[in-house]
Amino acid sequence: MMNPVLRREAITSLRNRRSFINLTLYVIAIVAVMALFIEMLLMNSRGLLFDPADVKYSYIALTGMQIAAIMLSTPALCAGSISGERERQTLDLLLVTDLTPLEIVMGKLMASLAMVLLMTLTSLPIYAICLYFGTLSVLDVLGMMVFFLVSACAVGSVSIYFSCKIQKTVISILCVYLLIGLACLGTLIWSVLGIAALQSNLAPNQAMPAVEPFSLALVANPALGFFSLIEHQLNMNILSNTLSTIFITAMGQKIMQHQYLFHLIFDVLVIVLFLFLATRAINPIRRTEKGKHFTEKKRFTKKEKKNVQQGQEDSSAQ
Amino acid sequence: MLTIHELVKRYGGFTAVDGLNLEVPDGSIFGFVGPNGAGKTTTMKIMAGLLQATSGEVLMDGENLIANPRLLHRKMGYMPDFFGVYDNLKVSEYMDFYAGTYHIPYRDRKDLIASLLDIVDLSHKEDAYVDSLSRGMKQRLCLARSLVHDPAFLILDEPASGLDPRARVEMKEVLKGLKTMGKTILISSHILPELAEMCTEIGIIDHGKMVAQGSVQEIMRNLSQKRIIMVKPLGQMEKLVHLLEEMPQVTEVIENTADCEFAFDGSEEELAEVLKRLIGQEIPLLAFYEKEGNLEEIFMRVTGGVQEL
Repeated sequence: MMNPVLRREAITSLRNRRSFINLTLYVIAIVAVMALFIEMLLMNSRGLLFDPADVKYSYIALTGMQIAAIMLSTPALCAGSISGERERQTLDLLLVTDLTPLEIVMGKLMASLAMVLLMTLTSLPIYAICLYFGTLSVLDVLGMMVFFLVSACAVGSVSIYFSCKIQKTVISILCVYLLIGLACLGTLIWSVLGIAALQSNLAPNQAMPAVEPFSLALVANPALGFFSLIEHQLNMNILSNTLSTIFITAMGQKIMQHQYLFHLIFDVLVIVLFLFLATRAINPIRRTEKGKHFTEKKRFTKKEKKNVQQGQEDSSAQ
Repeated sequence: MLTIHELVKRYGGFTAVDGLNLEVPDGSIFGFVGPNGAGKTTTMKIMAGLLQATSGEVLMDGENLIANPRLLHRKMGYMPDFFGVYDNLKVSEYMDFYAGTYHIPYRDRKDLIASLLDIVDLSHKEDAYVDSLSRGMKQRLCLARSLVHDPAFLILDEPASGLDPRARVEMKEVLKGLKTMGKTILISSHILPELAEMCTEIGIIDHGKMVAQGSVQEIMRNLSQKRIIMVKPLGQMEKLVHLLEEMPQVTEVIENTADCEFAFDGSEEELAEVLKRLIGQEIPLLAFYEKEGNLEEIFMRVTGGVQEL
């Protein structure tokens, strides 16, 4: 049986004209970008020395635009899913049903990602141009689609967790954008500064340690993951040469070689962790001791906790 | 039979529900009355599985529902005091969605939805958008939603709030219909006269504790400071008033044009003795009955008179 939350969201969003307008605008934008790049390539070659291999630059532009669109639209689609129910006063009606918190969270995530999936699928025909010029294989395009969907799932899971924890949708969205910003720029800055500090603290003849925490942060960087995959697919260097000179430890080198793979594994862990946390956050009552009592979701101060515990002890003593 | 035993809910240092005990017999409509902040909604949310109790039990047929949230969700139908609806969703789709949340097979839904909409008199609105319904219709739709899994027990938090008199009457009729279907209903309301008419039992809650429970008549009898008895004689009014004033249990006599009423502070037997004496004195009586007490007045007194009514 189809998840009822997903089913309802599908009905209401398909009735919403805005969804179609947004999707149409998105397709027009990517077609325009692709057309512009091909036109520029033709102009540069002045019609004489057109190299079909140069179409790979339009592939980079197209996929770059798509991953940016996914990173920006997924929080907007997911971060309001639970807080929106709360604001609409429909969350309690959902929580008293037979649906488990996991079913509710999964229904919300799938409903939000359905739009991302639609965005990805509608762009597939445009990739046919790259395939036509022989720049890429079908497997490359499918690999990129998997990267998009896993990234969208990871961002969506984090967004839904924030949506469960934070009352206001706008604040949830801002928190996720902040986190994406930290993942893209923060990890890079932290890693570069960390490695530089490590190097400066070394004795003259001392070798760099094989394992250090700074390079590890790069695994969380979605932008590097994307470029790493592009480099792997197109067999070219965009960032890896530069970064290889910075991250000179054995660990750094290993990560730089297959960053996109490490990033995908990281994304899967993020999905599992944040779905688990969201499920806990949405559950109004949580079992701690089988069949006996539950702990309150509400956060108490230490003093309040002490009072509650004292009260429970008193009542059990009675 | 639903039994709440020593239910406690604390928020840090504040105790919202303080050792509440309650018994709701099967097939009854139980009116849950109390001032704002008395703990009604908190108790109802615990019963619906939306809040965790600090301690205590909610027992149905001997099973502690608090320890089994899944069973609780199946046994209870809950209608909150405030709720929203989804945009761009038709009434039948709204019901279908909630049928799905209780894992009711697709093939059974059409008939189920038709019968539920019939119960709440919304069959003619099947294809209307939910957000276009009036407040009263939304309330009835929410009631139909709470019945979708055929719960034995219904928890209705202020179902008549914000409704106009006509919508209230309609809601009351629906609830009476549900009672005949054998549903046990716990209903909270501030509108006491309506509850008194509809409920088989009421419970008055104040500061998280049950201060009175029983039938409306029992509560009024137990909590009224004095009983008001109406007497309608066929003439001989002066003699009647004189006789009543002589009786020790009669504290006050008010003479009206065609009848008189007196305040009585005594037992049932003593009241029967008063009637016997009046008849013995050959006063022709057309009527002799106890005047309905003012439930709101009793409620105000029991709960300290600080609440809105």
